[in-house]
Amino acid sequence: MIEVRDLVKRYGDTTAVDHLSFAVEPGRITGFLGPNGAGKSTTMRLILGLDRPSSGSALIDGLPYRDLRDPLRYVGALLEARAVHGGRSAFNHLLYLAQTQGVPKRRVSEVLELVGLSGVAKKRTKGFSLGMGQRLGIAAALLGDPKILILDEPVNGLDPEGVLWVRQLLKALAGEGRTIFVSSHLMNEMAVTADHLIVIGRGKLQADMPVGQFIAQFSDTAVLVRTPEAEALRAAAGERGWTVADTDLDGALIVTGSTAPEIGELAAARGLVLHELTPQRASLEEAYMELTRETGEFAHRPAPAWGGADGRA
Amino acid sequence: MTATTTRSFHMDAPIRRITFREALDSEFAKIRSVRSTYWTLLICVVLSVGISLLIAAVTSANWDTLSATNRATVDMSSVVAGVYFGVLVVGVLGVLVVSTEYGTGMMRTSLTAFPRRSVLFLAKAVVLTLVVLVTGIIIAFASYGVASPFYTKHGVDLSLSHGANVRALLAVPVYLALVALMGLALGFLLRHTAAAISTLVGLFFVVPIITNFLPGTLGKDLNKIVPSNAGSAMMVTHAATPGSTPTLSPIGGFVALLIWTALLIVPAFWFFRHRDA
Ligand SMILES: Nc1ncnc2c1ncn2[C@@H]1O[C@H](COP(=O)(O)OP(=O)(O)OP(=O)(O)O)[C@@H](O)[C@H]1O
Ligand SMILES: [Mg+2]
Repeated sequence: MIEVRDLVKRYGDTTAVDHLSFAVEPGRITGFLGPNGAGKSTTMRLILGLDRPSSGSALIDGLPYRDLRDPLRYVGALLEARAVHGGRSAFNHLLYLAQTQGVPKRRVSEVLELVGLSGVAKKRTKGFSLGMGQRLGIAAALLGDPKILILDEPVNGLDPEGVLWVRQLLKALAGEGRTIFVSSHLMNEMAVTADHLIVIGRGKLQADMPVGQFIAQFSDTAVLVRTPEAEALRAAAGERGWTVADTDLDGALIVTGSTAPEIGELAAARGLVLHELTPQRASLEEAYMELTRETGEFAHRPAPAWGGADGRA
Repeated sequence: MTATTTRSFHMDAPIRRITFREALDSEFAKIRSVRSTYWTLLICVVLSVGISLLIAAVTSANWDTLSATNRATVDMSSVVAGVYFGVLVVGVLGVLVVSTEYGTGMMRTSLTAFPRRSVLFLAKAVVLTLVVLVTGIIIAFASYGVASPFYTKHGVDLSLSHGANVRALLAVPVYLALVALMGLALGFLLRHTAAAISTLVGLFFVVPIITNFLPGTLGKDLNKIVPSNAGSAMMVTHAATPGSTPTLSPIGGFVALLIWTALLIVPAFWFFRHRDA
C-alpha cells in the first residue's frame, strides 16, 4: 500500500503538490488523473524518494522508499523520461538492473518476451521508437516482480494495440494482488482501465473514489430523446424529477437524471411514441474537464485583450 | 505476449538487504556495458603513451643541443610526459559516468535501485577509481617501455631499482584517479556534460596559463598548486634546478591534488544527498 500524507512540494514559487493525502490499495488499479502540470509526476517522484518533499510524507507499507529493503523487488517504477543510456542494448540495460537486484539473467529474457521486445533485445536503445522505449520501461518496472507498480503515463506513445496490451497487463497484475498506481491525463482511458480514481488539479486532491462512483457522480446520464409528443414527455419526466432540456437539433430533447431504459419504460407506460432514444457518451470526459478546469495549469482562459489585460505591462 | 505470464519465480522469495557490494556490481556492469568507456580509456592510453614516446624521440634527437640545465630536468616525469594530456581524458570519463546518467534520466533509475545516495555515490567513485588506476598502471609501464630507451641511451638513470623512479611511475595512476574523481564531482555538481568538461578544461589548461604569468611570490605559489602543476610535481624525481619554474615536492603535489579533489568531492556529495534527483 502507498500512503501519501499531507504531502507538499514547492519549486520556488510553484506549489507542484499542495497538501495531498490519499492511499493506494493493493489488488486494484488506481488511476492517477490530472491535467498537464497537475503534479502527477512530481507526486510519483516524491513517493520514490527522488525528490524531497517540502513537508508531509509518502510511505510504502509504512516505510519511506529509501528505507525499503531491496526496493526494486518491492516497487517497480516507470518514470516520465526515458531512463536508459542510448549506447546500451535493451538486454544490457535490463541486465544491469537485474544485477542490482539479484534477479537471474533468464528473467531479463522473460520480461523482454513479455513486452514484445525479444526481437530487438541486442539493439542499442538509441534507435528505439517512443513506443519501444515505453515497452522497455515497462519491462524494467516488471523485472523484480514487484508487489507495487508505479507507472507514469505508461500508454504514452503506444499504438491502440499497445494501449490495449497495457490495459490487459495491468488488470492481470492487479488480479494477482499487486498494487497498481498509474497516471494518465485521459479520463476515458482510465474509466476502462482503473478500479479506483484519484484526481488532482494544481497539486490539490479533487476526487478519490471508485471509478463507478466517479462516473455516477460526475457524468450526467444524459439521454437524447426524439418524440412527436414532446410536451407530454416533458410533463411525465418532470413528475419523476428528471430534467428535460431542448436542443438545437430539430425537436430533440436531452433528458438528464435518468437512464435510457427508464425513459423507454416511462414512455411505454404513458403510451408515448419515441422516435429515438440515445444515451450520450461524451459526458465523462467533459465532467472530468469540468472538475479540473479551473485548476489546470494551462487552463484555457479567454485570450487577453491587447495591452496586457492580466495587469503586466 | 500474453498478460498472464507476469507471475514469476520469486514473488515469495525472501527480501534481501541491498548491500554496497551490489551497488559496486551494478556500477561495474554499467561502466562495462557502455562503448564510450572503452573509447575514452583507449584514447587515454594511446594519447598518453603516444605523446610520451613522441617527446622522448624528439628530446633524444635534439639531445646534443640541450643545455646542461635542461638535461638535468630529464627524469621519470619526462618518460610519462604524455600523461599531461591523458589526465583530461580520464577527467572526461569521470564527468561522463555521472552526466550521461542525468542526461538520459538513468540517474533516477539508479536511485530507485539504490535509494541510499551515499551508497550510490561511493560505488560510482570506487568503480571509477579502480578502472582508472588499472588504466594508469598500463599507461605508466607502457610509457616506460617505449620512452625510457630514448633517455637511457644518453645516460639518464631510469632504473626501477631506485625507489624514486618507481614512486614516480606509480604516481601516474594516482594522479589519473584523482583527476577522474574531480571529473566525477563536477558531473555531480553541474549535471551537464558540456558544462562539466568545460570547467575541467578550464581548471587544467586555462587556469595554469593565467597563474603562470602572475607576478610575485604569490603568483609563483598559486602556479605551483594549480591541479596540473601539482599533479606533474608528483612524478618529478630530479632536484630543483635554479632558474626553472618552482614546483611543489612530489608529496606536496599529491597533498595539493588531494585537497583539490576534496574541494570538489565534498560539496558534490553534499548536494547529491540533498538535492532533488
Ligand atoms: N524540477 C522542477 N523544477 C521546477 N518546477 C517543477 C519541477 N518539476 C515540476 N515542476 C512544476 O511542478 C508542476 C507539476 O509538474 P508535474 O510534472 O508533476 O505535472 P504532471 O501532472 O506530471 O503533468 P503532465 O501531465 O504534463 O506530465 C508544474 O507546474 C511544473 O512546472
Ligand atoms: Mg507528468
